[in-house]
Amino acid sequence: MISFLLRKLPSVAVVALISSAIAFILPRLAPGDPALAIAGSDATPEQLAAVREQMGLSKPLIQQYLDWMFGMFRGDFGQSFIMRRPVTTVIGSRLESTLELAFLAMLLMIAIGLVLGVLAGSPRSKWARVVLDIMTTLFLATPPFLTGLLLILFLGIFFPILPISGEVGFFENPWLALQFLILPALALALPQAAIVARLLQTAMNSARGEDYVDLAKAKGVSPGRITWRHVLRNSLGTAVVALGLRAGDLLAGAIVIEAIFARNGLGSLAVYSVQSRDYMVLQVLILGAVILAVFIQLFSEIILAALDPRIRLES
Amino acid sequence: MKFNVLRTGGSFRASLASMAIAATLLSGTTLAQAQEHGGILTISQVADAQPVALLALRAGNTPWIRNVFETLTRIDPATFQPQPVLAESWTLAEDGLSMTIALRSDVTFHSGRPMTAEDVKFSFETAALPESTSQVGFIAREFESMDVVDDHTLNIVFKRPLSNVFDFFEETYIVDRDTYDQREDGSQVIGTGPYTFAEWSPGASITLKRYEDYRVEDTAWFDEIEVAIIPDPTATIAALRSTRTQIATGLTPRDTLEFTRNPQFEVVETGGTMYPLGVNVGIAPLDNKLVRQAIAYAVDRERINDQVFLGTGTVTDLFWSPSAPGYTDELASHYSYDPEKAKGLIAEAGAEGATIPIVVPAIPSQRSIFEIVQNNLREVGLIPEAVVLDVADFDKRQVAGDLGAAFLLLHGQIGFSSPTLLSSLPSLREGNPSGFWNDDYVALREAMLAATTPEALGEATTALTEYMLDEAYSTVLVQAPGQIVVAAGLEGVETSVRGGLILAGAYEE
Repeated sequence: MISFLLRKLPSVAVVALISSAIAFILPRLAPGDPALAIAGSDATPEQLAAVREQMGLSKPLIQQYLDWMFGMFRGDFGQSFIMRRPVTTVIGSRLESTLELAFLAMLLMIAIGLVLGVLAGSPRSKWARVVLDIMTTLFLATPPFLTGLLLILFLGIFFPILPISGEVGFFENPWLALQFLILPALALALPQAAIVARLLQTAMNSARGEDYVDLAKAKGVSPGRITWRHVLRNSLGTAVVALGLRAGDLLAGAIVIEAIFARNGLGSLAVYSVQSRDYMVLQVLILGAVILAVFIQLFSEIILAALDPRIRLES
Repeated sequence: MKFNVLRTGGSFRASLASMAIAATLLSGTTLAQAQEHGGILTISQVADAQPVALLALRAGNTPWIRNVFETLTRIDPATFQPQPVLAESWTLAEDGLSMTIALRSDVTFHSGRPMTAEDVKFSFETAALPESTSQVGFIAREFESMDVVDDHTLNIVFKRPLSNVFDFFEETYIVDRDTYDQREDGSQVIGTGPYTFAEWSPGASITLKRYEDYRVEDTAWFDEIEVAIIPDPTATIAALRSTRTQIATGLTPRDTLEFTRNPQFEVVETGGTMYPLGVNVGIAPLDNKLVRQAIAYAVDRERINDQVFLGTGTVTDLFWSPSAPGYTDELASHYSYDPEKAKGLIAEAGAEGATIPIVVPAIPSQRSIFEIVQNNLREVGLIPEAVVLDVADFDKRQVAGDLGAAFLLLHGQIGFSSPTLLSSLPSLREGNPSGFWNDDYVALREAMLAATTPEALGEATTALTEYMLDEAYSTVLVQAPGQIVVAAGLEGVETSVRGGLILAGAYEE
C-alpha cells in the first residue's frame, strides 16, 4: 500500500498545482470586487480605490498568486480580506462544525443505506418490498433542504424535541452537540443513503444470479448465510465506490443544511466568501475540496482492494 | 419609565413618532424600575460584523454597534433634533462657521482610559479619510480645522455653514485612538457604550458583555448579548420560534408576516430603505425628458407597496424624509399612476415600442419590483428587458456610476437629512449612474446646502425637488421601513433613526 501511495504522489502534486491555479483564477473571473464588501455599495469611486490600495488588490495578479503559493509553502495561507484574520484560523474555526456534521451524516448514510439496501436486496414478501421501495424512492426524491425544513417543522416547532438552530461543539458538550447534530445530519444523509441503498440492492440482485450463489444453494447453504457471506460481500464494492462519491455530495449538501439549521461550518463560510468575494478564503476552500476529493478516491481504492482479493493496488 | 416595543399595524411615520417618544423618555436618563442585572439576550442579524468599517453605516454593524460605541449626539426620531449623548452641550457661532462642543467628563473607554477631546478629534479626522468609507465623511471634509481647547472642549471651524453636521455626529462613533488600528480582526473593538465587544467569531457570532464601569449605573441589564449571524431568513425564523433568539433583524415584510398577528412576538418598524428607479439621461430614448416623465407616470407605486412590501412602505416620489422641510404631499405624489398620460408623453416623444433594458440586482424584493415595473411599462407601449446582475457586480457598477439605460436601486439611508442625502446617495451625488449633472442642478444643490434655517432649507428643497421631478432622472418608488421582530416579554428596546438597535435599557420581564 505504501508503494501504491508513493506512486500516486506525483499525480497528486500535479493535481494540487493545477488546482491551485484554478482556485486562484476562478473566483477572480466572477464580476465583483472584495474591496466592495469593505467599502460598501454606497462608496464613492475614491473610497473604493483607497480600500483596494489598503487591501493590496492593486498588485499584479501574478504577484498575488506567487505570494500566495510561496506563503503556503511556509504554512501561511494568507489573510481573509473581509475578516482580517489568517485564512487557516478562519477555516479552522469552522472545520469542527462541518466535520462533525459530515461524520455523523456519513455514519447515518452508511447505516441507513446498508440496512435499506440489504433489506431490499434480500428475498422479501411483496408488501415488504413495496414499503422498502416507497421509502427509498421518497428519500431519493426529497432534497436535503426539504427534509431539513420538514424535520424543523415537526421535531423542532410542532413537537419541540430537538434543537433546530445553532450548534454546540462536540468537545464542549458531547451530549448537547449530538442533539444539535441529529436533525441536520439526518436531513443530509437520507437522500445519499437512498442512493447507496439502491446501488446495493441492484448489485445484490445481480449477484444472486451468479453461479457461486446457485452452487451454494445446491450445497444446502442457508439463505441468510448466502446473503451475508456471498451476495453482500460481493456487492459491497459498488456500495464503497458510491460511499466515496457521496462523501463529496455530503459536503456540498452541507452548504444548504448549514444555512437552514444556522450552523457555522465550511459551507456557510464558502457561501459568505463567494458573496463577499473573499478570494483568499475561497481559493483555499476550493483547493482543500479538490485535495480532499483526491484523498477520498485513494481511500476508496484501498478499501476496494481490501474487500475484493481480485483487485490489487500494485496492479 | 419603560418603553414597550411597538405593535405592528401603525404607519411608518406613526412608528417613528412612537419611537421618538420612547427615545425622549429615555435619553440621558435611567430606568426607574428596580430591574435586576443578569441573563443573556440573543439576537440575530443576517450580515456579519465589520469591525474594519466602524465609521461607516453597515448592515452587519447596525444591530450591535450602538451598544458598544456612542456618538456625540443622537437624533430624536420624531423631531430630528439632536439630543446630547457624549456631548454635554454645543454652541454654534452666529455666522454658523464654527461650533464649540463641551464633552461629558465622566466618559471612559472600555480600556479604562477617560475619553477626551483628542479622541473626538481623532474619530472625526479618521471618518474624513476615504478608507473609512463613511457615508458622511464628506461632511468632515468641510471642517476647516479642529482645535482641542481642553480635555473636554473641542472647537470646530467650518469652511461654510453646515446644516447637516448633526448627521455626521449621529453616524460617527467615538473610537479609542490607542486601539483603533487593532480593530480589524475584532481583537480591540473599544468604545464607550454600555456593553463591551468581547468576542467575534467571524460569520458565526458576536458576544457583547456588560461594561461594569459604564457611567450610568441602572442600565445594561443583561450580562451578555449574543449576536448570532444567521444569513438565511428561514433559519432566522426558526431560531426565533424555537426561542433561541429574542430579537431578529434583517427580515422582510413577507418574513415577518407570520409574526404580526402572533401575540408572542411584536414587530418594530425602524430605519429603512428607499427604492428608486433611475434612468441614464445620456442614452436614447431616455435622453428625452418626456420619455423619462412617461416612465415615472407609468409605474404603479401603490401596487409595489401593496404587493412587495405588504403595505408597510410609504409611497413617494421623493428621496427626502416625510418630515423634512420642503416635503409636501403634492410633491411626493407628483407622479401618481397615470398610464394614459404616460402613453401620451411616449407618443409625443415618438418612443413607442422602444426597448428599455433595466438593470436589477439579484435581490428578491428588486426582482418583484421589476415584475410590476415591467408590466406597467408594457402597458404604455415600451419594451422593458431585465438585466439581472449578481449583487457584487451590481454594487461595483453602481459605485462606478455605470448601470446602463435604466436601473432599480436601493439605498438604506432613510433618516439622513436632505442636504446629507444629496451627497451620500449614489442616485443623487456627482457621478450618479443617471449621468445627470449640470449647472442648474449644481446651483439648486448649492442653494440647499447653503440653507441654514428650516425655512430657507424648505424653500431650497422645494425648488430642487421640483427641478428633479421635472427632469425625472431618478424617482423613488417606495420608502420601506426595516423590520425587527421582538419576543414578547422583552422590554425597553429602542432604535435609532437609521435602524440601529439600542439595548442599554432592554430587560426581560
